[in-house]
Amino acid sequence: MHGFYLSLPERLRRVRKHSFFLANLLIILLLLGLPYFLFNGKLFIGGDDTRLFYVYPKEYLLNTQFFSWTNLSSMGWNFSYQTFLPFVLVWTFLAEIIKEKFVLSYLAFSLPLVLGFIFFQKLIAELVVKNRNDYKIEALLGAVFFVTSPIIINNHYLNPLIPIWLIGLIPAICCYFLRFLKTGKYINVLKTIILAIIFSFGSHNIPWLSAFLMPMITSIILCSLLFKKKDIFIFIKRFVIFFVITLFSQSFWLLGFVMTFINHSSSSFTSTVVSKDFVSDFARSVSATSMGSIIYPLLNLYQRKIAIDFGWNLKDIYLTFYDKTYFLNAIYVIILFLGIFNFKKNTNIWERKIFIVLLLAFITSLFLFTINIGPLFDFYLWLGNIPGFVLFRNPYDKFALGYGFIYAVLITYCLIVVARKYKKTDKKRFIILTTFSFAIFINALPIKDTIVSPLWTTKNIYKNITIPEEYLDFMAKIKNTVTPSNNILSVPYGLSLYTVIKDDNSNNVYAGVSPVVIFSGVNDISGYLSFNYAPEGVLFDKAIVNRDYKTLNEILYSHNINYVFLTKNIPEEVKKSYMFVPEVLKGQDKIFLLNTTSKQILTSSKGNYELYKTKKSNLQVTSDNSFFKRINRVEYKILIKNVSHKQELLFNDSFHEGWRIYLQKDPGKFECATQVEINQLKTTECKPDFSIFKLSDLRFLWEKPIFESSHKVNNNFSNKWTLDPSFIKENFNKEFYKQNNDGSIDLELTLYFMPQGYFYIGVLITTLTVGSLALFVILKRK
Amino acid sequence: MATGLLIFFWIFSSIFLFNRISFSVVTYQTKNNIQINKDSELRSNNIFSGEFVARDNNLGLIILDLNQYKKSKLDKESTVIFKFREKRKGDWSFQREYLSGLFDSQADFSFGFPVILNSKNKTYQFEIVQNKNRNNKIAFSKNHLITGYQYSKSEIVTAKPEIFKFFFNKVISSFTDIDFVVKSVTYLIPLVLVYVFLLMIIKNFHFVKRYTKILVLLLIIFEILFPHYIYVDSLFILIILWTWAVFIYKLKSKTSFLLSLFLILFWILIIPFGFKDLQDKLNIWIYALLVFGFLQMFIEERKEYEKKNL
Repeated sequence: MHGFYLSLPERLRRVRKHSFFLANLLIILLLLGLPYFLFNGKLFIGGDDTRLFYVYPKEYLLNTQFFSWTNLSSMGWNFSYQTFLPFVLVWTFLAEIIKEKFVLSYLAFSLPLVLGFIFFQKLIAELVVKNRNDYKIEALLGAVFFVTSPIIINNHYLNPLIPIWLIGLIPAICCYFLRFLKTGKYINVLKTIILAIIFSFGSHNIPWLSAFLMPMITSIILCSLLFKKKDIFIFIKRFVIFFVITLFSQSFWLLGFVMTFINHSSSSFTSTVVSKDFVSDFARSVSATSMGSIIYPLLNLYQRKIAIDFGWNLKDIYLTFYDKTYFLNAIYVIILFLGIFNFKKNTNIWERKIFIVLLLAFITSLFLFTINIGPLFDFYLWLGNIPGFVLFRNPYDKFALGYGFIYAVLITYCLIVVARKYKKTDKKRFIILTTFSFAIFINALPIKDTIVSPLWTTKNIYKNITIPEEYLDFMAKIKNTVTPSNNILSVPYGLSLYTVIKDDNSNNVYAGVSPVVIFSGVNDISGYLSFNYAPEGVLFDKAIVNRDYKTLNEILYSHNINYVFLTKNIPEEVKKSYMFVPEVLKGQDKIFLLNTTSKQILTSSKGNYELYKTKKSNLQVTSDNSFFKRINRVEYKILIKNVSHKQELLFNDSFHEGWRIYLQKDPGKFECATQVEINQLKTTECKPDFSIFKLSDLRFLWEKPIFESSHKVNNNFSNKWTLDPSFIKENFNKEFYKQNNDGSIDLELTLYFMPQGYFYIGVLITTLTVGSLALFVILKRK
Repeated sequence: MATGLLIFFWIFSSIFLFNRISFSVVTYQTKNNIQINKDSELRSNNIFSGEFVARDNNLGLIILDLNQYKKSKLDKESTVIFKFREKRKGDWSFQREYLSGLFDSQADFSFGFPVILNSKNKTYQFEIVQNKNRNNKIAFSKNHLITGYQYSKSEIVTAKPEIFKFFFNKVISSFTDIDFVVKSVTYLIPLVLVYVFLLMIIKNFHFVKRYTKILVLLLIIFEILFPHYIYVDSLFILIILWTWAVFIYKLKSKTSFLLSLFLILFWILIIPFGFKDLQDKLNIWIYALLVFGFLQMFIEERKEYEKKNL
């Protein structure tokens, strides 16, 4: 009540007192409201990461997470997908509270920016040693400069992939690291690992995180010459403690990821990254895309040349906007140099050293983001010889975030130097801050045109949709009709592993990784990349173009693709877009359907989606006189009867040495409710007996598999074992097989993907790390 | 004596190490007699043609300058066909196809063909076409080309008049090539440094100071007038001279940073006017000055910390 009777000057004084907090609140509200302004209530989904886990986290959790063997619109491969698990669990919980899908989607859009905005200011407070509270305005402006940077917005929000979370995570980790460095308090490590676990997204973030660390660590190492030995020792000690604990906390996905490098197999993630094609692509990609110059990054703008050369949406924004306003950004350069010229007199010794570290990191990241700087271009190509460096074959993308962040920190530091140089009442300081704010504001104006852009190579197709009920209902029908042990071919089959879902009321589309497995639990093959760079990708395209239906049907059969899912309402402009190869699309007509399918089995309510059975059906597991049931993505139970001679066991998914078979006791106890029986294959598929995890699964980590030496590649693609009954009889007691009267035996086998075990060990290490650190922090506080 | 040795070092190091193709190939800048090419860009309906007189025997290749063709992701691979014959000798005697990707990011491209033993003073013609329906923007320099003459190993190593002929031709052809001359300056640096050192010994410091200034200015003018020559060497020389200037004039890091700020602001001003070559130069200069300025700053700071025990 008191406030009501306050005089106007008193009210103004109070507002001024809280103005910093109010400014923060206002900016956070603006960031939270931004997607409502951009997307008008439609979902913002699609792209390489689908972003469906923000909207349908539960479906995502149940159908794609937890297992090290992944099929996300692709043939199976070994990938530590569990990296998403903590986030999806948190988001599933949130989805129980927030029922509106678009609110969840928009929150996921804004949250990285809000986190980045908050933690950036906290980081600056840690970096300033002298009178830190006097420079809150500079820190706030620096934070806005960072989260609205045209470089970051264009690179990370045009197609917001997982690394958008690094916008919040990098300042947060840097902030907690600095606090730990200064105080040695482990609570900062605990906060870091909790944040890092929730927003880790593991391998998805590695390239961008490394791209940030590369210039930072280079700079820290070189600038160590400026520090005393004692300080260097403390730094190294705390650096190692901080990052080793953080690494251990990431074991739940990291262990499996590292093991893919050690147990290298043709269908592992690492085989793609180190493949010859991938490596030879490095020089070509760098040469084709790194033709920019340092001027635009210095003006805090994205590389103009690449946008123009490749006809990106940004090209139009440059031509209509930035080409007219770029000179305003000279204020950034002026502030940067004012900082360089004045830092010696206006900083204390620690701040001076920090400034030099930041300046070198900035100069290094300027090169890495640009590459095309005379002889340094060849130097970068030479770096491509370092194993794994091929990840940076598109430096304009990978180094964008690191550059944007380092530039923002440095320029904020320069603003603080400028603030110290001029008195608070000095007009020059006011002019500089006003011009700086104005430049940030002007640069943020095209944000809607940047983010809400048409699908690449189209002019009128936008990417914000509400997923139609017709599609969701049809997915539910598929779930009830098709067992998860099948694969579906999505038609039209495209260039990547994308699919198109058209909005009900407009021509807007979902264009991203096919979500069939997310909604139905059944994997689909939707494009060239679905074959994980295997030769079948090319063969399949050629067979469609040449109408070679014999080859097509053979690939469908050998890859256990038993259904065809047809989408009929794709807009013509999308069909002509980059998503489809014209010749391949042309070949997917009625004749194609007639020659690859036997009958139509499902139609959607409005007739836009149809499901067909293929000409010839296969099963996931086949062997003579066998019965199998799927337990989950990495485990199958198999009963094989009357084995009298050597016989083959086929597992029709990508070959990987991690797939192993284990002999079980008491084969007579195997229960089977028939789901599908194919006489020609002499195999029966039983109803699935889904179980996500049993403690007994851990035994596969140490139990010896059988017939490992006979595990071979079948049809250049799948897994094959040769079962020898005499080996069983000679090496196992009768508990492990059932002897029949004719001398043959019955066997019960478990087919298991052994690298799944690394996930369980990783979870144990993560739990122990977090638990023991939390306990340590609590005990130390007491 | 020392001067003679250093000049010898300059000429022979350059000749041995800066070869367009290989040591045994003598190359000459040669005029393209056909100046009617409408467009230097090799479009689907355009034929790029050339005609020249061979300056020596053993003609085996021609090199054409490219206007830095960058294959974009949207370009589809095309085939570039090279045809070659002696003038007025009927059909094309040699024909070869190249994939357009080979031209990607190349400053020039060598078209080889079987060595013609008695080629001296004969006129030859060539044509380059791109297969239909492709428009990869490969562009050649219209006015001149480089012709290459392959000397056999026996001609070079045997002590006959041929060896002198070879070396004479090699020196003449090399030092009449401006590209070669620019590159070879690297090996002239020891000679320059020796002279500078000698001048310092005789205490003629003002002389050195004055000529350093002139050298830096000359180089900057050269860089602006000939922006096409973006090579490690010229940058290398610039850095050496800038280091020298910093040493002579006791310049602080601020000078390097100030110069880079000036160039950045100048660049911002000229963006609307294009000047691509100059912008390419500024791109290198500014970054080099930033790095240089940082190194100076780093050394300055370190000295100060050591002095004050910070």
